Amino acid sequence: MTSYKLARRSFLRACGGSAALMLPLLRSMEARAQGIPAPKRLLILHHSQGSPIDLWRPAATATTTTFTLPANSAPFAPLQSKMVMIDGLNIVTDSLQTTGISGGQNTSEGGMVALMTGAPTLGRIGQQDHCAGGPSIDQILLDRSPLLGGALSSSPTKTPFGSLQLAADIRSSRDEVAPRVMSYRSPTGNADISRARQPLYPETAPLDTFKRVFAGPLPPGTDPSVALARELSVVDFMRGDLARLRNLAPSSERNRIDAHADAIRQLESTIRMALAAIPSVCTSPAAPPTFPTTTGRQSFAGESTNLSGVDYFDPADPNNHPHQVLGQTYLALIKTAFLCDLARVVTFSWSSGTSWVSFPTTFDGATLSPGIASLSSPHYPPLSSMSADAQGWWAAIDRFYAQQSSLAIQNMAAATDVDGNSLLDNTVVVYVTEVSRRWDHDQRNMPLLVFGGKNTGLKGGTFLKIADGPLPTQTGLTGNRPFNDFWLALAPAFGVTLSALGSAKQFTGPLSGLLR
Amino acid sequence: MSRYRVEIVALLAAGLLAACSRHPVQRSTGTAGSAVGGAGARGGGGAGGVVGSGGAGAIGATGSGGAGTLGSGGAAGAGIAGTSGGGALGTAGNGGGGGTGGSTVACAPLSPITRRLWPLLPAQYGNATRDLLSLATVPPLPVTPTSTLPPLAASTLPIDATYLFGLYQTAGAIATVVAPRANALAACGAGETDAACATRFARSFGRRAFRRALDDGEISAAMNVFTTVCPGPSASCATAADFATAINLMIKAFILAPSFLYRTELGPRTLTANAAGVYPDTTLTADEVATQLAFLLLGSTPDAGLMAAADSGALDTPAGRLSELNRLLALPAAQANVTAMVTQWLGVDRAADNVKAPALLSPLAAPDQDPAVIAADLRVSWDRTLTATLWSSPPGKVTDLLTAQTVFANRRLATLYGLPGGTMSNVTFDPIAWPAGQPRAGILTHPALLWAVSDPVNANIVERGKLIHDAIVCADPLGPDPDLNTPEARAVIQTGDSEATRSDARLASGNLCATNCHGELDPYGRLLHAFDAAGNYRTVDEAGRPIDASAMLTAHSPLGPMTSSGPVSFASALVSTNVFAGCAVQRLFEATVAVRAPNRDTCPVNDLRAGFNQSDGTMASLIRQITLSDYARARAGGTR
Repeated sequence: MTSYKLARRSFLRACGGSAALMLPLLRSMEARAQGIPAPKRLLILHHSQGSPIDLWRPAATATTTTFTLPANSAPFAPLQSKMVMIDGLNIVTDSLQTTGISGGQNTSEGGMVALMTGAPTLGRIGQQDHCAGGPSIDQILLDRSPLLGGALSSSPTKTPFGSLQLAADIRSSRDEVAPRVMSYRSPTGNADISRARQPLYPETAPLDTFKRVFAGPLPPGTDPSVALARELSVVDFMRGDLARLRNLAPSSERNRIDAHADAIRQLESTIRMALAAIPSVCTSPAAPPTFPTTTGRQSFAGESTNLSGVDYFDPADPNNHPHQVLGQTYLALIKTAFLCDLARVVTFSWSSGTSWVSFPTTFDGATLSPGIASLSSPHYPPLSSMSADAQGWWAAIDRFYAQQSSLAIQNMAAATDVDGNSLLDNTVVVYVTEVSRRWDHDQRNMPLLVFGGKNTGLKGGTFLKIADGPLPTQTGLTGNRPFNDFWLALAPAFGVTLSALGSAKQFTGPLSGLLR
Repeated sequence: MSRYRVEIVALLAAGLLAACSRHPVQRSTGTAGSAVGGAGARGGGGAGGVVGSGGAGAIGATGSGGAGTLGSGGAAGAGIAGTSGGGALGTAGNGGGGGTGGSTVACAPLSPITRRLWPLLPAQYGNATRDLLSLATVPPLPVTPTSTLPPLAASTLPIDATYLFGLYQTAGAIATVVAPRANALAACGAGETDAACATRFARSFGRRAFRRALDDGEISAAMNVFTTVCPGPSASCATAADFATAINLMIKAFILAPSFLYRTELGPRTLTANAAGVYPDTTLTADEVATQLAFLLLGSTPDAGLMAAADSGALDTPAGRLSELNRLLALPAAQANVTAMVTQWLGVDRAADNVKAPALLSPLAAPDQDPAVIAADLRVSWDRTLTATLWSSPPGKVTDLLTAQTVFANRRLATLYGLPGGTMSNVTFDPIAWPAGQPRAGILTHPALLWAVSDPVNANIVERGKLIHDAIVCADPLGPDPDLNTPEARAVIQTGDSEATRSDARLASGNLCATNCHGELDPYGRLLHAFDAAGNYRTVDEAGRPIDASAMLTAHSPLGPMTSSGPVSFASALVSTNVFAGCAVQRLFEATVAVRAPNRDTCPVNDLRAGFNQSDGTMASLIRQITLSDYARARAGGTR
């Protein structure tokens, strides 16, 4: 059996000059050896187009601690003791553009931006491309929380990659940015709102992410320590040149240069990851496969996208479900990235808010009638049909996402973290969507689940019914609260106090009952 | 005579400058033009109006007082000669003299471009590395989130961690390809030490890679890369292979450095901010002008001629810039690049991605009904059409694009579109006149364009209308689009049994969008309704009803309220009113400087239009007008 001291020596020797950057891994090993607390992590996991409320929310007789999950939330039942279900939150959009723009209320596009930033938009481009007017909550927490070790923070616990933005599919109607991006940095002051917003575009190819995060390219047949020195000299040259540009450029380029500097820092992390031996606590996953990609202009029912994506339904191989495999591959990479302490904040989306993922006309027992299918499917989900078969078909797809997401979270629960506890004991997973009701994009009573084990402070096994707010419910009563109240309540789980988020109408105060 | 006057006289003598050069920006009341092309005003054509717009000099960087051109109903006002503006940022001279009587319509000002970094797009990165290193092919380039967007939006491309890692992989692949040639690229002289050779290489290759001269500190930094392979005070390499490896590593460092990844538009490096932290306004350096021209016209890094012109100081003068621009415009590569810009402006680059229903391709035998093959044919036809019009000898006018009555076709296209094919092959494309029964209007009805903006089955009146609205007439933005996902909107959208009747429902619905968007868009689309989704002429629609291709345009249209009988009369109006030419100026201006004109009546664009209207109307003149303008070269200093 290898002793910890021996492992530490061999690890540092393998790291060579990169020992400083490998400290997160070293800390992981030491944490395991010494029983010190593991880091906290945050995963915000998005699925699109809401969930049918009657199949999602427990019956009216449910109590805070005694509740049964209906069909579409039932896949999460194995996690119920580590889960808080919240009902009674409304997405409230707002906009700095005052000419009658709401910031996209009751749209998937506006919903994505409001959900993640909680802030008024800068305005809208084209039909529904709402421009984020603030940083997203994951970046806010990353920057402010010493527990999350942000790349830009001065925290000594910062991780090699800070945060990851990943998606199984990003195709969006009219190629709009709003529905396909979850994370944003703070906007710039550019008068052109399309340039002022600062989206952190998600990666969509697991193999590329794997190479970037776990194993950068290593020149064959080269001594790793020699290769490391050479590659780092290239990085130093890049960094020095950027510093020169920073001195010459006006302040309007500062955000761009900051982002570039962070990119160089992450590239250095990639190089060091590739050229240093990684201890067993952080076993590099197998290289993911590539997936059959739908490319080129796709159009239907007056909508179109030019973005590429991977469909659930592969006509050439009906038994193959690449969308599902791709999503699970990413979720497995996220789990390993957490265990390796390469990043503590991740956003993952199954699809854009205006999903273009193709599903078969008959899916999990639900079949679209030919009339409905001719309007939108078999390739793409029907836009706003209220017909029973369309609703049933979409409910089946919603259930699919619940099943797949639950499976991934269960895998986190089964993984052993560096402190010997379950990875989920140290991880908060927020399962979100951008509208509550698919057919009209209503944003009242947003479906929301939060998962986290014993070290997260979450009150697991809770059904939190909100009734003390000023906003309307889906049934026309009042009692709901703005969605931002949830983020305000969650922030303390990461050692952050947020007293406000968004405009005055977008929050009332932190929810009670979420954390112990 | 001032240096400026000498230059203008020389240009006029060379026949390169249009009839007059005028002050860049003026108000009809004769107020002084602002520095860097500030707000101006256009004289409206009111009854008895005297003064029109103060126009820009045809290509001049600065100019004398302007003569109004747009006023109607009265004589154009003679401008008062402005004092010479000393450079683009100018101290622009006094404005042209204003007349009286016409109403004054303010044009929208356009702020000067603040000094900036402009990231290379992936394709530009590929071209630049190819040209720098004489690569036969470029290794795979990273896909970016903005790859599908037009250049204007793509200029927002962030160099984030994902993209930089992609470039790192590409650079690694390039280094592998270049490795065997590294010694040859360094071209060490006899007796030259490794260090001396490497230093010389860093200076010369760095000059080309960074598109400017490197200072000693940068050379030293590059040598730090070299010495990781060949260490020691003398940086002497143990073997020739080590030397090659070290050179190769330097190349990799250069093509990953920010100075390579960004076009810098920062002005002189000696620029310093004042005590308040404000940098003075400036102009692009000669190296930056070379870079601007190179990426605009060659899609790549400056060629040897541009480098030499920058080094010699030629690009510091209007004549020198014009000379280099004319040289580039004569190159097939530049012509192809401009043609590609036009293609992208008009959205035809999307054609290759658009599949079509087999029924639309029924004139062809089944093996020939592959949409990808037809789309590729159409792109060739389109490119040949543009090239024949814009770059022939002598070149045609930009507006000739709307009047051409021939189409380049191979046998496949001839069969599909009912052209006399004869003994044609599928390999060669010949110019064929459209049959008399098919009323066509140049590129407006070119099948490639129609194919690109149509759905797989439907002609898509709205998309076609939007194309004409945005890209053919450059009407002002309609404001935010409606929410089409409301039950009320869906009810309107789903009313009707054909595209025409659905369009009728949209037009009849007053509340679909607040800005009457479909009242603006649909009429344009209806003008093209006699062409199906593949671009084939038809007389009845999908419901079997006769097609009426006439349309009534609203007052919002740059053509004004009018009824057009179909695409031919519409195209004729576009030509006679200069609306299409003006739109070409606007869209290519935006693509050149990566700045969006807020509306059609934007001051610097108006000035360029006025200048272009007095030129010979060719694409070369249009490019000259834009790229040699003050606006394109001037930069606001910004703050520290």
